[in-house]
Amino acid sequence: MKGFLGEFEELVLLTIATLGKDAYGVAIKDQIQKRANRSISIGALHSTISRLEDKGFLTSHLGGATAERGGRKKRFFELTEDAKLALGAMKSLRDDLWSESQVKLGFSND
Amino acid sequence: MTSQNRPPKFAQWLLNIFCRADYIEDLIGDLDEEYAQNLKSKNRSKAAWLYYKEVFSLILSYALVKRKKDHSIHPYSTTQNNIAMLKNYFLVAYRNLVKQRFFTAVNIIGLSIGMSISLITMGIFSDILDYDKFHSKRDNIYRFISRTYDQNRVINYATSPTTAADFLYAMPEVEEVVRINRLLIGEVMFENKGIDMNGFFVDPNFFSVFSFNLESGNPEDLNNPNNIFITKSEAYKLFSETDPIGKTVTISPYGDFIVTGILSDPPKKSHIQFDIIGSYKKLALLESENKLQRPINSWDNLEDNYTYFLMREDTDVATIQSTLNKIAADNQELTKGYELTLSLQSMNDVNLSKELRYSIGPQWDIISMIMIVVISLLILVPACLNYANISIARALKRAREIGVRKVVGGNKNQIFMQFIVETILICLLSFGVAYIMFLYLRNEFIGILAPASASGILLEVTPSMLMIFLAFVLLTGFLIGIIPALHFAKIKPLSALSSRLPTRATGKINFKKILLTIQFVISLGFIMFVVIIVDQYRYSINYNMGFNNENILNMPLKNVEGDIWKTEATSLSEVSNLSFSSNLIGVSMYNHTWVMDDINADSILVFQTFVDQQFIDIHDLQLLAGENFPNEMPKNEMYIIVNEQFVNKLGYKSNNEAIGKTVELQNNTMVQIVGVLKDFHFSAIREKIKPFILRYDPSQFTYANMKIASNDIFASVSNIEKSWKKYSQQQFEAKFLNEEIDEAYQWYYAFVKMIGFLGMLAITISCLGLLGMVVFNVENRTKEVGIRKVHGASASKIVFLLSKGYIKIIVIAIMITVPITSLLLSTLLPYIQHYNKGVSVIAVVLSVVILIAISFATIASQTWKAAQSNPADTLRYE
Repeated sequence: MKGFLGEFEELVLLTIATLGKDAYGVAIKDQIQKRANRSISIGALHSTISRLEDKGFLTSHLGGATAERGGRKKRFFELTEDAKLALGAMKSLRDDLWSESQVKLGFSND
Repeated sequence: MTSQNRPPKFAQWLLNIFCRADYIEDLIGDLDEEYAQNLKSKNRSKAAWLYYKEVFSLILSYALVKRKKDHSIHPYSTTQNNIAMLKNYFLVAYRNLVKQRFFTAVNIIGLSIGMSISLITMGIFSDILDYDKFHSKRDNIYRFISRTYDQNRVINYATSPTTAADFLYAMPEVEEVVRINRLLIGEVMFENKGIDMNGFFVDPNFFSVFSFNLESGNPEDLNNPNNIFITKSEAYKLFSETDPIGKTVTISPYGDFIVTGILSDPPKKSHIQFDIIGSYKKLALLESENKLQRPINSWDNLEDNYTYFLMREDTDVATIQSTLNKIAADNQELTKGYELTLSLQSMNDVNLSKELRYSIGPQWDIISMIMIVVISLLILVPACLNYANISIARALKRAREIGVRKVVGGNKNQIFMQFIVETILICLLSFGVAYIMFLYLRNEFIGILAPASASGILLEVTPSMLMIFLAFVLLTGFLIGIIPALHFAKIKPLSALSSRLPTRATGKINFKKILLTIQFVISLGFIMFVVIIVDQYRYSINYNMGFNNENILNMPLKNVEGDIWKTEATSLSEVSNLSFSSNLIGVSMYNHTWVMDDINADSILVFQTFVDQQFIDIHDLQLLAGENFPNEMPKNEMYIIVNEQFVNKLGYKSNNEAIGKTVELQNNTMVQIVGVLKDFHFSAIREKIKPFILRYDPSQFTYANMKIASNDIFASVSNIEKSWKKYSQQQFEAKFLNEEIDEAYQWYYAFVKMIGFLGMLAITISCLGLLGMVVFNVENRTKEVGIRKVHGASASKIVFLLSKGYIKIIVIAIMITVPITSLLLSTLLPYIQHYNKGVSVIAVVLSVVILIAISFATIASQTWKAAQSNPADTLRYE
């Protein structure tokens, strides 16, 4: 593991995972806007993405030329194995904490 | 996309300033896509506003910083065409060097001189570190070293008492002990042929502890005291083709030995050097035959014995030291008036250690090695300063070039690399020249620096040495290139291309002046050293020693009886008078003893010489009180003659009072003072006059001192030699006392020769630097000089104008150097020679005059030329 995952970083990684092969800048931004109701700037998003690339959680490749955005290429992002492991570890930690919680959390199940 | 739907142009331009569009095509795409989306739901100005917001957040974002960094051109980046760039660096460097031939020459000459001396220093160090590497057990071999203290001084010895070895046998940590005695010295005779050889009496395990090779014979042969081994080359000299094994040789005064083994010559890089090896057991026999001057096994004999031993692996050496301290304490009562302690020295430290008396083989003490390094730096540094100075001076001209480079896209790192490559190229060229100089100089330096016994200092160039040399050159290049390179790399293209730069560079002039001042300080320092040491040499040669040393021929008696020689010599017309002595006076004095009397509790160290009645007369020594030894001396020693220092030290109120007093000598003899001599320099004048006594004991006489009456020195000596041959087959040796004394000052000559040579190099380098600066300045001021001449300035005024700055520098350098060097030398000289002239005003003035003459000649050569130039020529170019 190459460092800890922040909350927003985790959100970005999971969003990229949900988008699958179609994860590029604007798509990720829109998904986060829609699901988490968080408005972020492209600069902030790409900064986080760059950091995740530095940490080795993301790889990227340029796609072909496009019609809809002045012909400019899209950069698509993909999770690395490290990212998948990190997300898994995070989830199991959360699950453990949830199940062992002494306090009633969130919406009740009963 | 219609023009109406295009994102704001200004925002796009702003983004482009920060990052080239092709690095961030996807980011711009994202921005544009979002803009298009916004247009659908919002009005245009709102979308544009959001676009601006996104652009600003992007500009400040880490994403952009990172992409810029990833795409910048790294000088070592593999994606760039590196080889082509490197080729270009070399090409540009080459063109620059050729274009600026004069400055290139100044730099190369200076640097190559500086480097050649550094190469010699590195070679010497590498040779010294290579010493004794051939011993396979080197890391576990140690030896004893001793140290004595008395109230006055501490002396370190490479020797140790023989009996110290006895304690080692009992120690479990010690595997082997080798005792080595250096008394096996003398003329080895075989059938009327004699060759002087040096060697040691050793224990048989000498060959198992050390890696010396015995070609034939068995180390166990050394259990027989009369056996001897001889090296191959010496055996060839003595026996030529015949087989030496079994032959009997004679070494006087020890007697006959049988050759039972042939040794390989010891490697040159061994501190233990020998021609013959004898058995340690022989010493006991010799002692019983009374053939040794000193008792072998006494605790205070620190003159002949070395103790080497092999420690077991993984022994903690520190634990041994406490045992040694105990041994020393136990034996304390055996030494009178001083303390003797022992310590260990590893074989690895033998060659580079503190100064040790009676050291075996060559030895380099650390202080003189540091001196050598300092001196070679004193020569290399001015050469490097020249380079820095000239580079900075030329910065103005180079600034344009760099401005253009930067404008067409060269980045900082590339400019830096270009200048480093240029410097390294100069250094490599200098190294080529330095290497040739090194090859010529090394024999000279071996002669001066290394004692004759240090035959291992060869300064041979091995591949590994060559690698060290090259690494040194590259490092030098990098170090001297880094300041100009950084300076140039930082130049802003705009200011470089505008004409405003010259005013900015004025700050650097101070730096240049400081560098030049340092060079002159070093040069003047060298000049003062040489002049003052020469002054010292002249003073020493003409020093009045307090006795007559003219026309006295000293001859070792060797195996000739004193009385027989006296009858023979006095019958010769050349010899007007003759005396005998145990050693010579006026040269280094080691012969000493301890004296006790009733009043003083502690015994006192006194130097001594055994003489006969004629000695005082021949040497014109002045008796202040009492009288000479009586003509008829009793069989037992009863009388001594002392000097004034002795009288003072023992606390007698006057010379007359001392007469008739009785003192006890080291060997418990009671003697009476019969005469007091005026103080004279019985030892070399580098030593302070100390208490001294003349004793009478014919058995100690080893020299005949003959007063020569004839003017024809050569004929006299050959006549005496003829007489000598009647009595002895041994080599006739004789030397005049004044020559012998003057020999003690020979090191001044060697010192002056070396410092003089090195100083000349330092001065040459400084003058080259000065010349470079003057040439540069004069070139820059050609037009100014022309205009001044047109307006009627005289040649001398112009010379003064152009030289003014340098005169100031030289004056400052003189003011710095004269007090520092004078203080340094007047502190140092008493350590070198107790009776010294000190730093004389005349010597200082002479040094300053030499510096001024040399530097003014350098400056004037250029400024005078400039002053003579025709303004019509200089002003024509525009």
